[in-house]
Amino acid sequence: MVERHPLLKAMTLTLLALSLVFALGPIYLALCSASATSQQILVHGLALLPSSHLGENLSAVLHRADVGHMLLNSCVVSLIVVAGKLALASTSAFAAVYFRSRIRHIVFWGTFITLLLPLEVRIVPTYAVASDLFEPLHTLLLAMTGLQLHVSLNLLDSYAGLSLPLMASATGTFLFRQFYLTVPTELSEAARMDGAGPLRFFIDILLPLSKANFAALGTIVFLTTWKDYMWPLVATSRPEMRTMALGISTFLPTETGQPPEWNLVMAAALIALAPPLVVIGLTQRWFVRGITGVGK
Amino acid sequence: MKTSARFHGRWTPFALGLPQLALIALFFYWPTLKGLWWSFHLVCPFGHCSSFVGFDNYLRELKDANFYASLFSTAVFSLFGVGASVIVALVLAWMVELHQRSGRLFRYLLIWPYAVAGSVLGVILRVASSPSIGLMGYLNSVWPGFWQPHLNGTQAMTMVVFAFAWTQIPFDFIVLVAALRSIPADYMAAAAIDGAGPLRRFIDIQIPMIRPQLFFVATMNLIDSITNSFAIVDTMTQGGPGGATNILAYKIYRDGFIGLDLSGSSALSILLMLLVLAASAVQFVVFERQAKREA
Repeated sequence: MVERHPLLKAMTLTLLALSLVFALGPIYLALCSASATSQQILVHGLALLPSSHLGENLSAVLHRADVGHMLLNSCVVSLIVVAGKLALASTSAFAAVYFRSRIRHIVFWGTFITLLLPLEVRIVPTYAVASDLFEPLHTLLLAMTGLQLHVSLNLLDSYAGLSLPLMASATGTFLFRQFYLTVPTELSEAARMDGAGPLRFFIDILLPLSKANFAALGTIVFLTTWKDYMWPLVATSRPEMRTMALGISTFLPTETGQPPEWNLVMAAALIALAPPLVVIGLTQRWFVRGITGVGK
Repeated sequence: MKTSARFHGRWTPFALGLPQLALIALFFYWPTLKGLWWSFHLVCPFGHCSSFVGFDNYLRELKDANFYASLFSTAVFSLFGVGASVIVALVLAWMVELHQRSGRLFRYLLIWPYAVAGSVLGVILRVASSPSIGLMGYLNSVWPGFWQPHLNGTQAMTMVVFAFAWTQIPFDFIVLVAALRSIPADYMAAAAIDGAGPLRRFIDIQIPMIRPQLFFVATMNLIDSITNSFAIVDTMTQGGPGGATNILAYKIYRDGFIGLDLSGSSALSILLMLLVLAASAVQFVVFERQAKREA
């Protein structure tokens, strides 16, 4: 605005600086302690200034049995979910917007209702399904025909089991639906007039137009999948299938045991938060766009 | 959308929507139905036998003092968590918008916390709040035995609420900054010419203008506080001390996976689902009313 308020400006700037201390404080603390030695922390408490042992702590953590696996698992699962979710959300939204058939309503509302069913409220039965994918089929067959099936497919401790239940999403479908509704209708009219079928229109016209949406949603989905904790917790039992966000808790000292190595705990935390931080730092525009897009 | 812009074909949309619908049926609808079925049956620990018991599981939960303790923890957690997230994010967004030049830097840095998973933050804060080596340790040298989040329920709840707000603020902040920026500059300029200072404009123009987005972030936070707070609780307090942070989402997991009480856990799930449903319904109704008023 035009007018000058030096006092207000100074005060708000101080508050902003203070809030930055709170916002980045935990990341900074992790960095400082991850660069200290174990003795240093046990004697002087948590480090408030960086020291010079970051490299050796990081390599100590990375050499510990499972951290390499965890990082790999997090990357693989996040990328599978990103690819799957983008494909599912864009095609479902296309089905829900660009057709005359009543079925588009089924597609839309069938997806919409999932908003009311977060993982946390169906965690135990979802685990049951993942432990035997054919269980619904068994139950239905048994109830309707009395037949008993003897096939089962256990998805626990597999990449499929870690990623498939996270793939379907209402928010992604909404994001694409909102976008498709802003695309001028003349485009699809013209395409139809030129004799293009729905798939041709989708692939040749709509997909190239939605590049920005793919980038935005992809960034958000990557971050949320990387940060996910609850599903990996129940869907994995073998240590080498753990993801980074889950595995971090195994670094906390147990009640009995050797003196805790806080510097290594914090180094592991640093490793777990670095990749998403890089993603946010580099793709901020897409990321912000994804969030405000979902928020509309 | 005009009909002439839509494609014919009955089965194409079905085929396009089918993959997602199949996954939803498998991982959303079926588990929900199964949970509903479990909640009306007494199921043995591994789910292989069961007998119908009607509403007994619900009555058992509703008569259990632990349920009310957990409900109370959830209410406290949600109220303070959502309140803190929205208010802090709103004030931050307003301050950032006041500073045209330096605002950009703050806007960039203040969303970094979005990168930190709840579990990672939980681990960091658990170390940072440890009475022996943590930041609050000095309080204990002034008042011996004051800071004990592993024994004191209020302190544990404060930590969990702080962690929750910390993870939610970046999202709220981004949405609210975008909302503030979408207010036409003329309104603000006209108010400034009429002599309204920045604070007055904030209260009388900016807040009323972004009310829909404020409401949106509040309900998103509320739903997240009911459902998405698991990682924080699991890494920081495990529901303790003495159940002080045993919020419903955590209790469902504990009862189901550790207590192996599938029936009770399912009855709780259904009750929690009703809470989510209520929160979403309120959101939907308010948005519909808003849309009608604008139309």
